[in-house]
Amino acid sequence: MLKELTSLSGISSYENDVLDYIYSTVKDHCDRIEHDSTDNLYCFKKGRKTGKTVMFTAHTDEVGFLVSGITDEGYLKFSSIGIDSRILLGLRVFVGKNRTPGVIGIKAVHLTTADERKKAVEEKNMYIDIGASSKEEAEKLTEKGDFIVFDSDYTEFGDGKVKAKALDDRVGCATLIKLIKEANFEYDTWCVFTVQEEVGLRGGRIAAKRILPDLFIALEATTCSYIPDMEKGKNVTNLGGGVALSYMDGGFMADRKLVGALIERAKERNILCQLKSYASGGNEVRAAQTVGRGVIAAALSVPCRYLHSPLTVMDKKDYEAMYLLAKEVAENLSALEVL
Amino acid sequence: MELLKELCSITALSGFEHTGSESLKDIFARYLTDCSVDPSGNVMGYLRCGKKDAPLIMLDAHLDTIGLIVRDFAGGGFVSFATLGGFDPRVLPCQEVIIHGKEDVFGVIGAKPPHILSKEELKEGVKLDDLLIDTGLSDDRMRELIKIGSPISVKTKHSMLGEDKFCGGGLDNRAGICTHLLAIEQLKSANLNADICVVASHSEEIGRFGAKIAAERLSPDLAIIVDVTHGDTPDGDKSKTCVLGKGPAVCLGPNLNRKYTSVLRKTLEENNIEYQTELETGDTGTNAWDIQVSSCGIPCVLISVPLRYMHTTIETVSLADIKSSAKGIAEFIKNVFGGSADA
Repeated sequence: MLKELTSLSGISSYENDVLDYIYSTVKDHCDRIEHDSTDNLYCFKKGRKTGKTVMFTAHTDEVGFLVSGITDEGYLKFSSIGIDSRILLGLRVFVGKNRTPGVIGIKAVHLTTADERKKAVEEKNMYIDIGASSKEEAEKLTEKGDFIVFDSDYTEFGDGKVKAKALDDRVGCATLIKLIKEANFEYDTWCVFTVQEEVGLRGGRIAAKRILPDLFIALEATTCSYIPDMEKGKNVTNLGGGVALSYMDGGFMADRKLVGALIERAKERNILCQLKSYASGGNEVRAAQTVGRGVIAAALSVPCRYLHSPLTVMDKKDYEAMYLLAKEVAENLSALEVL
Repeated sequence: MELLKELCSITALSGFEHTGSESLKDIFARYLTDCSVDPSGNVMGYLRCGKKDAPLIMLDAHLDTIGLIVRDFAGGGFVSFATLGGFDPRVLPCQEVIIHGKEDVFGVIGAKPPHILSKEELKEGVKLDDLLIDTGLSDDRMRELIKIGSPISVKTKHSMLGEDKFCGGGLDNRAGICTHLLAIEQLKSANLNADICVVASHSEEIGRFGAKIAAERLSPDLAIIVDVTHGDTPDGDKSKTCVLGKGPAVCLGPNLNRKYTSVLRKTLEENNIEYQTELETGDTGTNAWDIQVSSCGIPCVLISVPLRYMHTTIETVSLADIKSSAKGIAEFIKNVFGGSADA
């Protein structure tokens, strides 16, 4: 399932392929399904008890680019959404619905000066070659505003590692789908696949407002910036260290009681679990906390190396741990004594 | 372009060509006779005219492609690396690699996420020393499977870009080998007064050793070298690049034999084959520079296939250019070494 999910294209606001796939997978497993004007997909699961409403989210969008123009020579100019442009040179991409192959070119090393090689190429000076020899030829294949995604296959490697594009946040989507299919929900629960997280938590904000849950859990991918000899703590998380929890990140303070209870529960059930060591990034918890009546909220995350690149890398153990802890919340929330 | 794809699928990194020489010999055997791999690693094969004391033409294109090599273990399942041949480090982040150890080990060249980089860091070009390969393995397992000095291929895909352009790593210089084999196909039924030896020479990217050895061994009467030259890109100097799709580039300069080069140009013109010219006042940066002074001196002509994004995994050529280069070579050989109809 993760393989299919990561192979789909879905940059912010072009998420329909992902949403359609998820819809077809969960439609026979939900008590009710709703949509809204931004295409958020709301899946309702009736609980054993009533009185409290729980909400889980996973966002469907991924980082990518939009075609911002076409040059007279037939090259595409582009604007990225959430990407460090230094990683882009020499990569392969797919342009638009028809998945036209393209490459992000750079002149040969032989034609560069030593000074040029010391500088990063700015995104505005980059271009995508789709093999067109003129503007007219390129316009037959694409147009301004078309979306562009990385060309990167799902690959398992190392000791239980997975490499794919868009693990942020298809790993959350896969977890939520599994939860819908397999969990025996304690309370009425909305499992929401949210759009446009990468451009400012936009789908999540609307969804939280619409549901006004008592408890909110975001299923996410978070950064693991480990490299050898790194300053201690700056790695944020460890791959293979289990599902990551945090008391705060770049955008929110999680509910302390909830995070503490989740860590306790993980220990009791022998679920691998770790605390993030560096406050960075942000996720939909922030959106949920700042709308409506206020909500008890936290994020469960799978650590990923090289986040926002064509090759995000995760450990399957962490994915499994996130699922197990999310299932605990779904099935035995009252035992956490946080509501 | 099945042949080109097949040629590109062969792994033969500079200095480690032995991993691909047998597969290439098998491909050569479909076009040529007496195919062999010489002791140094050059792959060779002949198209013989069957005439006594016939002159010998050497068709050279280098076999090796650039790659990386394990420099050290860095801990945490990471390895540091050096390059085999010239890479711009800025194209390496987020590339996938295969480390050829006891087994082939998949890895990725890691980039730090932007969340934790300073504004200054984001403006700098990535340096080779900052890059590491992440194998996803435990250190023990990593040391078991690979060693310092294990060669590394940068993974690549091959695909069409548009209708005529073919894109992927290793086209420098499998495009050249492909050109020679396509030329041989057109010469098979020709009545020639010369023998032809096609040489896929090793180590071009790290010192052009293979071509020197082959040229000494064969001592040919003429060498036709095919390599790639820089194609036009929006960021490249137009005066230093050739346009993709406008035919092969014929190189002019002291490295190349003036008489043969002018016959080549005349042949191209007579056969309505579009071509471009490029000028090199000294070392052409190809095997031609070394072959010219091998043995007792060997006249050389150099034909180059324009190629964009050289030394990346997205090298791009025009298939039409490869075909017209092959036709040009075949017509040139027929013109100079063709026998009379009743011979």
